[in-house]
Amino acid sequence: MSAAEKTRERRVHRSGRLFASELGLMCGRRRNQVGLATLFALVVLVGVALKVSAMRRPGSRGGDLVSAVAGNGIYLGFAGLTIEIALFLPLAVSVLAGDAVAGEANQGTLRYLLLAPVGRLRLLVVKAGALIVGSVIGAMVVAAGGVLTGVVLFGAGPLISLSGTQLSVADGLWRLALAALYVATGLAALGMIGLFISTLTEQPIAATVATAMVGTLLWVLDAVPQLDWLHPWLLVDRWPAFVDLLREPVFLDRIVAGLGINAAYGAVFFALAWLRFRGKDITS
Amino acid sequence: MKAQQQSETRRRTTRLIGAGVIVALLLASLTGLFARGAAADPTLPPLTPTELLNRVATAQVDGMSATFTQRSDLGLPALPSGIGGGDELQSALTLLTGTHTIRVWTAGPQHSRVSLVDDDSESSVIRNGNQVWTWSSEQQKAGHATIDAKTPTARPTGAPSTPAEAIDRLLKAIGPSTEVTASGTGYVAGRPVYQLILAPKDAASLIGQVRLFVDATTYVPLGLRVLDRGGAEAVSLLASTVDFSVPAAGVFEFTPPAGVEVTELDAKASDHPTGTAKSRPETKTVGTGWTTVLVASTGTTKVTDATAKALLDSLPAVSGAWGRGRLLSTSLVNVVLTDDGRVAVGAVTEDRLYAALAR
Repeated sequence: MSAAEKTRERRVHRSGRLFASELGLMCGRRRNQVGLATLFALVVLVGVALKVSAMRRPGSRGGDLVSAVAGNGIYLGFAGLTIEIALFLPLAVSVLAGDAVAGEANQGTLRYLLLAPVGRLRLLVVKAGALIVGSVIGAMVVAAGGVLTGVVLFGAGPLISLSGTQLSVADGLWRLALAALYVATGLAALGMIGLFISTLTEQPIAATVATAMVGTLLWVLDAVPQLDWLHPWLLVDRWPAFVDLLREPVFLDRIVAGLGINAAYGAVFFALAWLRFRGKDITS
Repeated sequence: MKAQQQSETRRRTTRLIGAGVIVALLLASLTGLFARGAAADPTLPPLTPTELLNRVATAQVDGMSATFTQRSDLGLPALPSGIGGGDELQSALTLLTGTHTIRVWTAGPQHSRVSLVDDDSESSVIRNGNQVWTWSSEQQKAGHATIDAKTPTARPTGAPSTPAEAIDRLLKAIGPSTEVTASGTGYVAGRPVYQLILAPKDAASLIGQVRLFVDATTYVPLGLRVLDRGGAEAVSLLASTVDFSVPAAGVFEFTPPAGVEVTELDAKASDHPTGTAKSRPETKTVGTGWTTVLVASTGTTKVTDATAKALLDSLPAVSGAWGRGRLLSTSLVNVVLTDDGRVAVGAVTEDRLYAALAR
């Protein structure tokens, strides 16, 4: 093994350790654990509310995802994503993103991090990676929590796709996992916006609030019919397209377009974050 | 000193590279998204409008899977839900506003499926041999009809059975009153197309022109745009993806899932879901071609539904020698609802409607 290879291996090893420690920090923070519990509690709440209304008025069943839960608990996974995609999941990612750089700067730990032989780009990549993992965990907790609650309250069975075909339980769960991953890509893209904002300030709260506001603003713009020419360019416009996975044959057009938009937003804002971070004076 | 200069240069270079990367990313995403729109028109062997129309009428493909985007901008506000009475009528009304996605599959004349794909719902009409199914995810209802096997293509009302026949009939109907011109080439769904402009000659028509896009290799129409008199786009139906391979047979199979209400439709009802025999309005047509006016007498003057009544009362009141009524005016279609229960509909100016009502 040459010296260069050895150095590279050591570097990779070091990055891996840094990434692991970043994940450990992220998952170990009490506020993040509480946030995750809140995401879970919300689907439980929706499930209980649906159970109560189903007991009061049995037999009434609409066609949307939320009312489909009364017939099959697995739908609560999809319904949970639908309900939390607009506010709660983006809020959770905003909290993580606010912490990413501004949190370290605020605590005065950023300069110590940079004292270690770790490049700034590498540090930012690790932060971005942790945000992506956080997005996946958030979406998965909502989907899995929904299925768990739904199955306990309503039982499970084969699903009826939006196209009127029957899907086996395994097929339904597989599609739900894909839906959660798709939602996670969107959340990760919002996380990159948050990462950029996080490099602009030393106040994690400010970064969190600003990121959450950007997310909300995008949803508001997406709801204004007069701006329909703008909608395809908005990050959140195709987020709800995960329901297209419930069609037979699966309808991929909107999902592929959504993945493209998510990737474009993610790449541009990560690049902006790096441009800002590499020239930043770290004073605290 | 020299080392400092060197590091300064290096920093500037990296900064330049960074800025370059961002600009490149932005440009790449923009060009990627605009590439189709900006691509130069394809050069195709020239065809006269008649030649092109003949090829369209005889076009035949073994199979097709396509996604169409339908846009309507008739100057109507988004309709409040709950009006329109019949469910099918309402789903037809929703097509008048906003943007919709339609998925289409065909495999010969015997197998077809059309699905209206909205946010989190889907409604489909599926034909598999002599079996016809309708499905609405919103209502969790399926409908079923069997087409007579002996005359598989003859529909009770004489509705066209193939798109080519429909176009053929359309052209016969509008032929003498239409100016047909070929208008170069373009791309639809990434495929080179011929463009055809159909323009009504009658000045009373609200339709300025219809632009038809015809696939250059299969001659299957891939879309159309309807422009109003002012040249603004009122309705468009354009393919966003097209695949001319035969779709899997499973696409046309439909088995109503357990727990879903299935209604047996007789073939007649499936063609005219809104007009039951009892209340079918008396209709007559006035005029020909593009400026045909449909006058129907509903027989009732009372509007029972509160939302519908409020909506009706918000329309401007009009009157003339023909009587009194309300005018619903859009960029493409005018409708007069008279107080004595008659309805006149046409893609014509309101004066033409009044004239038809006065007859």
